[in-house]
Amino acid sequence: MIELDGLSKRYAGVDALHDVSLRIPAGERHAIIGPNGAGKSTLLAIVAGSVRPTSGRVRLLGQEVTGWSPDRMARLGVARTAQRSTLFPEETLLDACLLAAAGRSSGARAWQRLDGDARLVAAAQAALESTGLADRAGDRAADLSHGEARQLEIAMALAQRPRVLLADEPLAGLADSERGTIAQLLHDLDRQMTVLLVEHDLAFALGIADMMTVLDLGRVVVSGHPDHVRASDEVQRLYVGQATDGLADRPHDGADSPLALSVEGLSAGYGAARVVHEVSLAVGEGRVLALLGRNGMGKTTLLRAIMGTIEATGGTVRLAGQDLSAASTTERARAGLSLVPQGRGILSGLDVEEQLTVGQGPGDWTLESVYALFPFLRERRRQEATTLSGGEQGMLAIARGLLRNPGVLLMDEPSEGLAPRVLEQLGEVIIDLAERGQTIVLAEQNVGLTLGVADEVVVLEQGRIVHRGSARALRADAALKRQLMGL
Amino acid sequence: MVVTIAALVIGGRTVFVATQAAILGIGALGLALVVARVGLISLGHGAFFGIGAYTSALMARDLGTPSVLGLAGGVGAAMAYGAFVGPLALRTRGLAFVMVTLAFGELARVALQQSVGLTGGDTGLSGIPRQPWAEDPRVGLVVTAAVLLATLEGARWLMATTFGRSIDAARQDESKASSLGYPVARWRTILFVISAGVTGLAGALFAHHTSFISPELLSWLTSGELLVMVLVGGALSLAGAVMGAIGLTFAEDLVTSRTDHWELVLGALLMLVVLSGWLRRGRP
Repeated sequence: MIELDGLSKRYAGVDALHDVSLRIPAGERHAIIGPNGAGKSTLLAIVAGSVRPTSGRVRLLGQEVTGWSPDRMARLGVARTAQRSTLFPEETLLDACLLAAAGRSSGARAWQRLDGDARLVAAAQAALESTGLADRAGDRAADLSHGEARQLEIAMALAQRPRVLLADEPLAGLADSERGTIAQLLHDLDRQMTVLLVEHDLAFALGIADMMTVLDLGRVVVSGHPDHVRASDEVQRLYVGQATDGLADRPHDGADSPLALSVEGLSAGYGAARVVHEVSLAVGEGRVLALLGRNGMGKTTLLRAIMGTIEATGGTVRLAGQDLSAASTTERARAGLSLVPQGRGILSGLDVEEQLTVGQGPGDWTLESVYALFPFLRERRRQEATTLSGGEQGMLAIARGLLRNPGVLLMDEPSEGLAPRVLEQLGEVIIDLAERGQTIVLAEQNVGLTLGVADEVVVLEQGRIVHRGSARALRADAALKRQLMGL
Repeated sequence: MVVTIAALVIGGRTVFVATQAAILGIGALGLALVVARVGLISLGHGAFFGIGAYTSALMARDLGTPSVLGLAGGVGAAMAYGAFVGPLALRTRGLAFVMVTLAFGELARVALQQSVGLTGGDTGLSGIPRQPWAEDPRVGLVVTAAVLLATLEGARWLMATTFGRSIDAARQDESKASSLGYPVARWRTILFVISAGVTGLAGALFAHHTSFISPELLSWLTSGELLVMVLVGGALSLAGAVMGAIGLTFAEDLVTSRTDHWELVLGALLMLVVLSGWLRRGRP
């Protein structure tokens, strides 16, 4: 049983949560949905004990737990999967799950060997088994791909054998095939377990939840049975236009514009593992080239090799004719490449404006023009950047990339973790940038967004290009689309 | 082990140096528990070393306490001061932790320096009796080496327990460790106190080994010396810290017997260690 009574939380003058009251009976699966910045993560963090409410009370499993520390909550039987994977990079997957399994009785087990209890080892292995990670039990967490790290996060939560599971966007950043696995996993959870789930994916949330609460701007909009929520006008309003297909059909002029970036035979990887194999691509000035592919297909590695943050093992990178193959990352940045990294790379300790100006370069994009594009950044300019919501941080990262005034802007999965409404805004921003003549290379797995904004599309599979063509052609060919995305 | 046997064979001065190396190995091991496992740099361990030394020395000289009890007293006093410093210092991270431990270390040194009646102040403390088992220096070496090995094994056991492994995990991701149910702050404090005790034990052994100690022993220079040993050992490994201590003690003896410029050699060595990327390698 979870009882929230009049919870409010203020950050730097902003109401993240305002007078939220909820009752979740034991064994219920309750989904919290709502757009970015609605206060969903804050709500979950308060229940988990990592954030103290400004006012209001939390009762959980029959105890008054307001202000309890996270470790005490965990020992009571609360497990939490975080939105951004926070794991132990040096530990093996098995050890990470062992640590999770032992945590609940940490006091009694303090002076026993961590791997000394066979039942605990079995529980850890079972958790890895059920998340499909069993064959990687001996690998280090640092070597996992983004999707696998999310799976480990869930494996660790299961290993805790919790009575209450707090899941913060368990599907964020997962490819479609992985989403199926995780969704099934959550669906098959012990019915005794109370689940509080924060999710963007409305279809998934509707399918799994017994009850739902919709938050917007820190307030409860509607709460009730999924059918009731689905039918509610408020929800229709919030989730309007979630199909991002056909955001705009850009005229295909300038297809023969001069080349801004050309890459030939580029190969790269990590250590002995080669992830990208002899990829060649070119993008004309003012064009949007999309690298489409599922997780782990080499999109991030390709962008990193272009940016020079990892060393290419072969091939050339040319920017406006200038050969940058041997150039350092700094030299490439100076020559006009800018990368908006996955996970946004927001620096802690800086406010929004400091964050924006930290790498500012001369050119058309100024603080003023960026503020005009993202008005909320001006309002929040003195707020510490890490207190922005995930979607806002994404926009901030794009704004920061623009202020470097790059010839070519590289974007690595900007859609990750964005609510449909924000996703649509993102699409509009990219189209807006393209219309102003900004050259963009966009790595994405969101097909709808990609086809809505790109001029050309390159599909990556296992680090190789398996298809290239115009976005328009791909948009029209549903069968090819499904086939390319492995559906 | 090899070093002990070799020293026994060579005999003479080498036995003295080898004993000192083993003692400093224990001291560095104590510090490594904090540096390598909690992931924080302490400059206050010189004080724990010195407190252990003074306590055991005074108990033996003025009270005639049996030697093992004196060692226990040294450990206890160092742990007591550790229990005072730990909770305060562990509220901070990074540079602030360095400064807080440094401040408490210097505080202990000055306090000891001022208590002239008890400690002799700046003149130091001399005529500290040898340990009964060290009448024959070779036996003394064997006993000290055994204590070192036992301490190392104990530390390794400790770090393999749920307690130790969770502290290791918290170094990698503190909030995740606490969200799994581990009382990170409390357990780190316990480890800090244990760490102070181990370094205090080294100090207590040291006092009887050299028979003369001064307040300088508590200064941050001692902390720095121990820290260099931990770093040379790879900064993340307990056995490495012991190796670093033994290696550096012998190197210092070797160099100082030929030139006055040990610090020069030490500086060059440190630079080599830092630049070679030795510190960046993972946990062995």
